[in-house]
Amino acid sequence: MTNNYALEINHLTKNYRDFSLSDVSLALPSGCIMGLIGENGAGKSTTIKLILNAISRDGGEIKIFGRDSREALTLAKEDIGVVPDEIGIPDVLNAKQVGKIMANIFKNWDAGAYKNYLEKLAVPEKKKFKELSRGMKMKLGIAVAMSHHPKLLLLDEPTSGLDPIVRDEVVDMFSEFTRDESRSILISSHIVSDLEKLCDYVAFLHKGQLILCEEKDRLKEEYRILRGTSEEIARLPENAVIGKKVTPYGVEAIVHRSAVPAGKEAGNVDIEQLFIFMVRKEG
Amino acid sequence: MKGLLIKDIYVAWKMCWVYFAVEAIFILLTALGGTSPFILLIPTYLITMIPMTMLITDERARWHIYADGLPVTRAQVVASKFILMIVLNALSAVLMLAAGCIAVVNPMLAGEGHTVGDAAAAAVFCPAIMAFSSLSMPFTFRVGFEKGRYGYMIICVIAGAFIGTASASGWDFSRLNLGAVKLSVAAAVIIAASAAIFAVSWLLSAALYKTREF
Repeated sequence: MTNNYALEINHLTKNYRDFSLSDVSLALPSGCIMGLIGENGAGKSTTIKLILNAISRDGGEIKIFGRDSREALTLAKEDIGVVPDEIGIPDVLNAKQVGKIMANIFKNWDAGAYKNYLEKLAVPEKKKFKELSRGMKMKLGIAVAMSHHPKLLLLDEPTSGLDPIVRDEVVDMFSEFTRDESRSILISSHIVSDLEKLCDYVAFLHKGQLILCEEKDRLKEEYRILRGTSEEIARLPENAVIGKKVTPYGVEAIVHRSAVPAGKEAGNVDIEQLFIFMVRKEG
Repeated sequence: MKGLLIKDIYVAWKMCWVYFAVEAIFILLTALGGTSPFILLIPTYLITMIPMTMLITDERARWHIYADGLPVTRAQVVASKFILMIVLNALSAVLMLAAGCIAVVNPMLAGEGHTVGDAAAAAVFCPAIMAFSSLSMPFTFRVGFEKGRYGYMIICVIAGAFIGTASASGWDFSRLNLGAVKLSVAAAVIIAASAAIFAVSWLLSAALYKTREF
């Protein structure tokens, strides 16, 4: 692959009557995991549907492996694994039948890998889809998405509905998946703790707008959480304060590291705090 | 494409076994009792409902959204339903023809005037019914089953009215006595018209489904 990006989105726009995804731009380098973080209705699923060309865009450009997503998308999908927020497998099918169907859909289907994933994730082969729990359904969806050795995984809330132990296993699987540097993941979730463990890049979506897209480590390096009185926080330069929250004990603010006053102690910020503070500031 | 068909066959077998059972009973009735319009038309109509049932099942499971993430085109998703319709209908026609032929040689029906022509006429109505049923597919592919069912209901009412009128007027294949040449021409016209309607329905479904947003 000559292109260094698995996915590039430039000025993507989609308008609905009551919602707009406005001017979203991001780039996912090969071998990396990007977390798309946003509250319900922020536009995460819309972005993924637009990438898959399942809905038409009103503006902008999407490139998958360097090619416009509207050109030869069916061919590109041979290299993409998708886990939607709801796995759309008919109720009467079981995992074994799903494997036979997918073997005739994907050219690179690896029946051995599929069987291994089912065993690893403890998905029963002969139980009907309707008899599986939500977590099991999601695990079956993940097994399907990974068994044709895709180069790009698009995951829409894949860990929702999973218990913490399984969530941890699944997060490890995704992490293992990107050990090969030609593989990338775009994962959307509002369970920020999972993304914090997993991602190299994070993108914040809020009300259809991309409010931040940055390397995770850089963000954690760049920002600090500062606690003080409202007067102390008010003395900081306005553009250095990303967001603040008034508590009964004073004020908490996320600030640029360089703006932390000398001698004042500031704590490390986590991605969840950063997201919440930024969203509050945006309103 | 092959995977989509395999999926539809698995689901059809699990969800629609009653349809297949009823079809078998009616085929048996044809072999034992001859070619009345009701016995001929109802099972064929029933079998053409299977792809529609598959569409409803897909929609309830959200398969149509899932399929957008698979390396298949929306035209192929539409094609799988229409191919299933052709295969089931062809099978129904062949079985109907075979049952009609059995009726001709059935000693219990000797003297009732059943001919191979009757059986052939019965088989010819299979593609006609298939084409008729396919008319509701573009609606359903465009707006989904919840809204598309109104189109389907209209088609059902028209089909019911047609069968009812035919039965009430005493229409019976065995009384037509068209003769081999006229029967062949009529069959050719019916098959050609059915193929045209079916093709238009298929193309329209593919075009409408291509731009549908979920």
